[in-house]
Amino acid sequence: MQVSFEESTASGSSQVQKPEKSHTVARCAVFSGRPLEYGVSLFIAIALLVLAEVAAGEKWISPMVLPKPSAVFSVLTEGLRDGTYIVSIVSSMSSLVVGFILAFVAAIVIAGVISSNRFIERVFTPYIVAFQSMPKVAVAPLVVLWLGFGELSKIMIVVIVCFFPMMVNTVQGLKVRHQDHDELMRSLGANSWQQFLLMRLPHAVPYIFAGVRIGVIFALIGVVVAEFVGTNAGVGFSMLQAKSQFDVPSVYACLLILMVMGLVLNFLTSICERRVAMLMGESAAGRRY
Amino acid sequence: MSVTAMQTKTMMQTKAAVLLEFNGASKRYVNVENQCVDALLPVTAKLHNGEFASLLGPSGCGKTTLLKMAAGLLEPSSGNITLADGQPVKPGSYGFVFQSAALLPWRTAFDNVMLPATVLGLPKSSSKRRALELLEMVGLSHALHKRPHELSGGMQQRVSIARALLHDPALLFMDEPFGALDAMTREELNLELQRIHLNYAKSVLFVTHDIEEAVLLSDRILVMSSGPGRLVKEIQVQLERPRSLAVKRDPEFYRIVQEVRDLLHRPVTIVNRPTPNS
Repeated sequence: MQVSFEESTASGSSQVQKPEKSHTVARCAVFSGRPLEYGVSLFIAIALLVLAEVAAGEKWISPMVLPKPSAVFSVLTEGLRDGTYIVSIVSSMSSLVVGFILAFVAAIVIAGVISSNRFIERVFTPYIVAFQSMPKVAVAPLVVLWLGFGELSKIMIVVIVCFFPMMVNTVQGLKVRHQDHDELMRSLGANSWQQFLLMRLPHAVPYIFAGVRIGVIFALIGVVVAEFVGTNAGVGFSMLQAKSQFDVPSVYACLLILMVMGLVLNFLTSICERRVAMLMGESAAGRRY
Repeated sequence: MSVTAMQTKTMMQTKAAVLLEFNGASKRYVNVENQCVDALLPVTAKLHNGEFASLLGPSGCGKTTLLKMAAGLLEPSSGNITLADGQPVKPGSYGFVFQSAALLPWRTAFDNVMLPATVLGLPKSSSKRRALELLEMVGLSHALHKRPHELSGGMQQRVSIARALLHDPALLFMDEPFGALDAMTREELNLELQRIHLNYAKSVLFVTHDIEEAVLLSDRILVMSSGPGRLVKEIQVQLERPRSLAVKRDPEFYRIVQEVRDLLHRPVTIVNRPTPNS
C-alpha cells in the first residue's frame, strides 16, 4: 500500500515504473506459485520414502506390512528388465483396452436406441436402475463360471463394469433439447437418423466424455478384479501370486504399476478430451454453445 | 438493378400469384391450470410470389407462432396454411432463419452453410460452389473456416442467412433475425437482406417487433396485436426499391411508421384498475 503510494507520488514517470512493477509481480509468482507447491510435494514424498526406509531397516514396522522402498524399487526394476512385469502389463492393458472399446461402442449404440423413443426409455429404465445399483464387480465370479479362466472373461468383466456409467451419461446427453437446432433440423426435413448423427450426438459429446472419464477408471478396477478371480496373467494376477508367496515388495511393486497405469489412462483421456473439445468448436475459455 | 426494373416489380406484385395462404389458422394451448388459452385468433391472409411481407407486433402477439405454423414446425389448432396447390409447406423446401443464428458450434462457417446439402442429399460439388458464392455474397469469404464462437453476432447471422439460401428455396422464413444485433449492424444487414430479396427474387415472411425495420424492408406489413394474439391490419408499403437508409427521411415512410405506431398503441380500456391503498 505504502509502496504504491510512494510510487504514484514520487514522479509522473509512470511509463518507467510500469515494467518494473510487472517484473515484481512475475517474480512473486515464481516463488508463491506452482513450482513452490510442486517442490513441497516432492519434499514430502522424499521424506516419507526416507522415513519408510529407516523404519523398515530398523524393524520398527514388520516387513510384512512395510517393505523397504529400496527393496520394492529393485524388485520393480528387475521385473521390468526381465520382462515379467511387461508381459503382465501388456496382458492387463490389452484386456482393458479391448473391453473398454467394446463397452464404449455398446454404450453409444444402446444409449442412442434408448433415447430415441419414450416408450423404450420407460420400459428399460427400471432395468438400468436395478443393474446400476448392483456392484458390477460382484458379477465377476459368475462371468468366470460362464466363460472360464482367461482373456475372454477378463474382457467381459471390463465391459460389464465400465458400460453403465458411459451409457447412462450418453443417454443424459442425448436427451438434452436444443430447441433452435431441433427446429433447424426439422425445417430442413431431417429424418431422425440425420438428427441423431448431425445434431444430437455431437451435442452429447461433453456428457459422453464425463462417462468416459468414469468408465476408464472403472475399466482398470474391472481388469484387476477379473485377474483376482479368474485368470493366470496380468498385473492383478502377479500381485496375487506375490501375495501367496508372502513376497511383500512384489505386491507393492504391482500396486505402483497399477497406479502408473491409472495415471496414464487419465492423461490419455484428458488429451482426447481436449482434442475433441477443440474439434467441437469450444473456445479456449471453455465456452459451449 | 435499375430503378425502372424496381418499379415494374412493384407494379407486377399487385397481380402476382398467391404463394402462401393462411386459411383461418389459429393456435390455442392448455395452460398449467387446465384452461384453454388463445395464443393466436384465426388469421386469414395471403403471401404473394416475390413479396416481402412482415409480421409486426409486440411480444406475445403470436407472430413467431404464426411463422412456425407456416413453416410446418407447429401444428395449427384450427384452419390451415397452404401453398397455392392446397398442400402444406414441405420441410426442406424453404429457408428458415432463427433469431439466434442457430449455427452448429462444431462446424465451421462453411460447413454450417453446407448443412442443408448434407441433410437434403444435394450433389456435393455444386453445393460447395454455391456455399462459397453465398459466403462471398454476405462478405465472409475470409471466415470460411472459422467456428461460430470466433464470429461476431452479425457475422453469425450472415452465415445463417447463407445457410438458409443454399438449397435455393423460393420462400424464406425469418424469425426476428436481427433482433439481437446492435442498431448499426442491424441496418447494414437490413440493406443486405433487401439486396438478397431483389437479386434472388425470394418471397420472404419476416417477423419483427421493430416498426422502422418492417417499413424499410416490406412490401406489405401484417400488423398484429397481443392479448389474445390477432391480425389487426394489413398495410401496403409502396416506397420505391431499392430503398436506402435515406428512405427513413421520406414523408411517406414517416407516415406509414406513424400509422403502424398508432395501431400498436391504441388506447387500452383498463378493466381492473388497482386502487392505491391508503
